[in-house]
Amino acid sequence: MKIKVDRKVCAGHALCAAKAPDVYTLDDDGYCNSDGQTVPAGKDEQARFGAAYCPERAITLFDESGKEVR
Amino acid sequence: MAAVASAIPPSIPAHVPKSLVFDFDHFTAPETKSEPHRRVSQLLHKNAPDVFYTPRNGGYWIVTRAEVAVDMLRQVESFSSSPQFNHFKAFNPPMLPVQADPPEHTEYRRILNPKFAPGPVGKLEVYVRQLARTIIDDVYPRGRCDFIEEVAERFPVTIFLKIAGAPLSDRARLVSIAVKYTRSPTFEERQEAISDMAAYLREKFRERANAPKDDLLTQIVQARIPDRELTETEKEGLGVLLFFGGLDTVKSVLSFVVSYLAQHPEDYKQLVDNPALIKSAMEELMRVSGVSTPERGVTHDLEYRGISFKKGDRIVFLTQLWGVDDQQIPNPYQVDFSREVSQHYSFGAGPHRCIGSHLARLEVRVFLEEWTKTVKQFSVENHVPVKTAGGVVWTPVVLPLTWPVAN
Repeated sequence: MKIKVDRKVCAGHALCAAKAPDVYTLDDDGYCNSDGQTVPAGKDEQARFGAAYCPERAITLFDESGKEVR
Repeated sequence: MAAVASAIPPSIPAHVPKSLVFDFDHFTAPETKSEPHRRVSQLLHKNAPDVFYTPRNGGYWIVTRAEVAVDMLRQVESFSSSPQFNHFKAFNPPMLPVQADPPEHTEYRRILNPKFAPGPVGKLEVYVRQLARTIIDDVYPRGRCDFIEEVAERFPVTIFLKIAGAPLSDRARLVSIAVKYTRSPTFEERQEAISDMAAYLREKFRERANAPKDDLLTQIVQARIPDRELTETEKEGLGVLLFFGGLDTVKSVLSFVVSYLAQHPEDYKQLVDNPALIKSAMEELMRVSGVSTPERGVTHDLEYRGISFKKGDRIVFLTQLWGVDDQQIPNPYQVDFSREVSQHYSFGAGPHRCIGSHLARLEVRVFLEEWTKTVKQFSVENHVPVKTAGGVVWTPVVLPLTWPVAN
């Protein structure tokens, strides 16, 4: 799965990294910097959980075929 | 003073249709006096329009639904944080970064973000835990405490003063200034509190300019935005907001969380039996413990969701209600630690998201981890209902707790 983070919308709640520490990372200011990265193997569920926790809905996940994953 | 203001016959501006008027005062409404999240939600989510106009306190709009609020808070060109468009917030000095819009807001925020990001805040955990231990060990043997004075005003406030670099001996003075700001409905009283805080900070900034230390006060004194130094007014504005945030809000959130657990022993027992649950349970507890009320001013005459707003209209966002919004979350008043996601906006949304959110989460988590280790069951003394107060920041006002002490 691929991660898309709308950096304009990310407000630094940092819940993605707190809830899915194996998937999302933060920059020095505490904002998600995982945009464009691939979810590590076996961590799809965690990735979804972290994205669902984002209060800004800034994270979208896509499967191999480019289809949005819910 | 509030009673006198409430007695003045309300006036409704011409552009506000009668159907959007609902009489509610977020400082004094009876529903804010106990269990405010449930009771104000039951009043407003069930009876008032999602965006309504109240004639109280000079007249303002209130937004009660999370989805509407999050959308509005992103539209900074229409709904501005600048006091220029909200004369109820035209304080001197303006509080920063909350009273600035992007792109200036982004620059101010850049000064503070590195200090409040999860990384650096995490480094405080050892200290935060030691302090929680000290305070709990202090009150535990007595089998009772006045939680607000003896714990909530000591724990987060001591941590904040350490980060800021202000002496602990100034605690009582600073807390009383912060309380005056957050609970006063009149502009004059709130301006007075801001002036008092600014005067305190001026003195501290002078000391730090001469003798820098490794603290937040020094960081503000030395701060620059890309091409210039900050003005004195900007420095004071940054300091005033940080001090109000650090001195009053965590105190209030922690008191709401603990007052809930004191009244729901079966939920508390889950945390005692399984401390690993605290990390996720905490979000569920904070969902029903939001405290703050950000405001915006309308920048130009506009229509939004079929509502006509006029330039300079004041809008108050009740973040307290977003976690208990039934359009967001099923059975919103039911605290349930097994919810998969406890979505809430208790730290706000959009670019102005509470900068202290990571520190607040650390403090609440560590406190609960230590409290559950020592106090295996506790309740509100005499099982009286917990009195709370509305205002700019909502809070429990008295919280006497008792617990059995093991010999």
